[in-house]
Amino acid sequence: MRAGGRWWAVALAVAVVAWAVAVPRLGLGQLALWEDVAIQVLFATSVNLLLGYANIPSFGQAAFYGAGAYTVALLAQSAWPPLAALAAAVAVAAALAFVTGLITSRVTGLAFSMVTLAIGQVLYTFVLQSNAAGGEGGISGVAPPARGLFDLTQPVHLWWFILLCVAVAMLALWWVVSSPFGRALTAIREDPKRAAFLGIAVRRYRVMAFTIAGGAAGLAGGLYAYSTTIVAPAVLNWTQSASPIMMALVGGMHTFLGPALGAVLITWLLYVLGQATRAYLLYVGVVLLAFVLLVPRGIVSIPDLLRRLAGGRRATGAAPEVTP
Amino acid sequence: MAGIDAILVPLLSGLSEGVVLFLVASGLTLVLGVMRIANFAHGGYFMLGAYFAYTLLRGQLVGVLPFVAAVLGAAALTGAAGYLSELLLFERFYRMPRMQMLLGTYALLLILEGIAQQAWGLFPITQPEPMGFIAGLTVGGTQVPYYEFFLILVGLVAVVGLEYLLRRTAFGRQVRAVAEDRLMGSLLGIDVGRVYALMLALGVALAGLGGALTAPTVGLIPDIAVQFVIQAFAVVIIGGFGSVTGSLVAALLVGVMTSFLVSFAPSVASFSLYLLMALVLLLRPQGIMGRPWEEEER
Repeated sequence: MRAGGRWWAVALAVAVVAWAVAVPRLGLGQLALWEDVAIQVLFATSVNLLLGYANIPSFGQAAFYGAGAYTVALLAQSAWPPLAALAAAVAVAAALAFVTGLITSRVTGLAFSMVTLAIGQVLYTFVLQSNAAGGEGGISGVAPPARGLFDLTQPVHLWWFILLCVAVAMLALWWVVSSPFGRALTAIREDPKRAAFLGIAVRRYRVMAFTIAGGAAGLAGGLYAYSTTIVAPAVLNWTQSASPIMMALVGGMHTFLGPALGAVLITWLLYVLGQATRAYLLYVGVVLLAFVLLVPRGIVSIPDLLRRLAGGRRATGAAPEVTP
Repeated sequence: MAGIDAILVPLLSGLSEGVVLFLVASGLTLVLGVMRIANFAHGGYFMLGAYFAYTLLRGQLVGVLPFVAAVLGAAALTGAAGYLSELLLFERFYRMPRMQMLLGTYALLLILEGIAQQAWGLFPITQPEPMGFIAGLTVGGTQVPYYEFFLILVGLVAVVGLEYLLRRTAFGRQVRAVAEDRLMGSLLGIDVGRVYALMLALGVALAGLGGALTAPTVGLIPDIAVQFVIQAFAVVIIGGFGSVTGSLVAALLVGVMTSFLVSFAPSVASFSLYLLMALVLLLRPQGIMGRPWEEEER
């Protein structure tokens, strides 16, 4: 960590806690929005474990997000306690991701994106007409049982519960990427062949990364089920897979907190646009296209970009190279 | 006697659905095979084709000839839109890392769908089938709409036309050369940029044609852009990346299979496409007609 990085982390943590305290005072609408923001932060970070750290271009993460959401929705009907239901959501999503990872481990690159996309669609179309999962209407009225000391049917309690779960999961993901396992993934990203020569079991590591990311996406989906109380097949549709990728790019892949930043911005933007008009896709598309064309390294690269521009103007020589 | 129509009716309806799938998938697979770009926006052009046809006919009930003219006009307009977007955007996409490129075409899909939301609204609108195609031919007691025969005919024309264009013309030779080896093609004096722009226009016009032909059979909403492109991708995977013949076989197979399943096992019908795709991937990852997919890591 760079000098001063620790202070930035402390400042960030303080700001997040202050915001977490403030949000419940802003009304239920804002509470729902910021719950969604927290959930998308986790989802986007889990996807970035694949895209940014391991260069596994999955376009089907909605399958695991949706699997988590449906697991919680179904278990909530039999009054499972939230922690048990969420653990089950993680287990189901991770198991599904493990199998998917095994099946697809022979394909790489663009073909891998297409294959994961299509596998996600199998699940989507299956759920769409499955009576047990509520078909097109999905499952509504998802709620934790009203009992215990910490009653999660209270909106404010649910808010803190979701934040806590997201925080724990984010710390776990941080631990994963900074562990030797995470560094091995980065080595594979940079050069799969060399990594293999160094004795890294490339295929096994990729499947493991896929499983971990799937489990984290499942947790995000499970929390989503509690937050919105409705789980419809749309959570499994392929556009739901594209959304965290969009967040990761807008925030900045290859960095840990970039996708989180992107998730905050995009979720908030979608909310604001959604309040203003139902025909908002045009604006989302334009924002995304602007990032793809102009700021492909995301928001986190903007300070460097500006510094380079300013430096280029002042000095006649080359701008100082800023290491990411 | 009761047996004939039980086979023939779903067969015809499946073939006609397969033709539309083929039109959309062949455009997608050509672009994928030549430019190595997975174009999510393809679904957006499919949708544009449908709306263009609706707008050209103003949603009116018309005869066969004006309908055919409108369908061709819609395909041409869609192709022009594709040509324009190639010059403005795709040219930059080709050089991008994979995920950035995919998100670029995804952004374009959102923009096209967004434009449709603004121009035609969020609610379903309908374009009636052309007069004269509403009736049908009676096959063993069941009526098969003439529109299905028309679609099958269009499919035949499209297959022959594409085959001619790619195998027998100078442009086709250039396309195949560039698809094989871009650098070598440009060294031989082929204007690669022009070939790319025309290929995208052609691919997208095929999507527009498919969309225009679909217009009378569905309630038109902007969301068909998102729904249809994934089916087309699945057909491309089954047929093999870059293979037009492969996507023809795959599209007809999928169309007929789905149609029979709708009659005999409705619960499996809607995701049979993706199941078939998973099966193909497990047994023959390069698809029915595809060559092994060599991927340059980037």
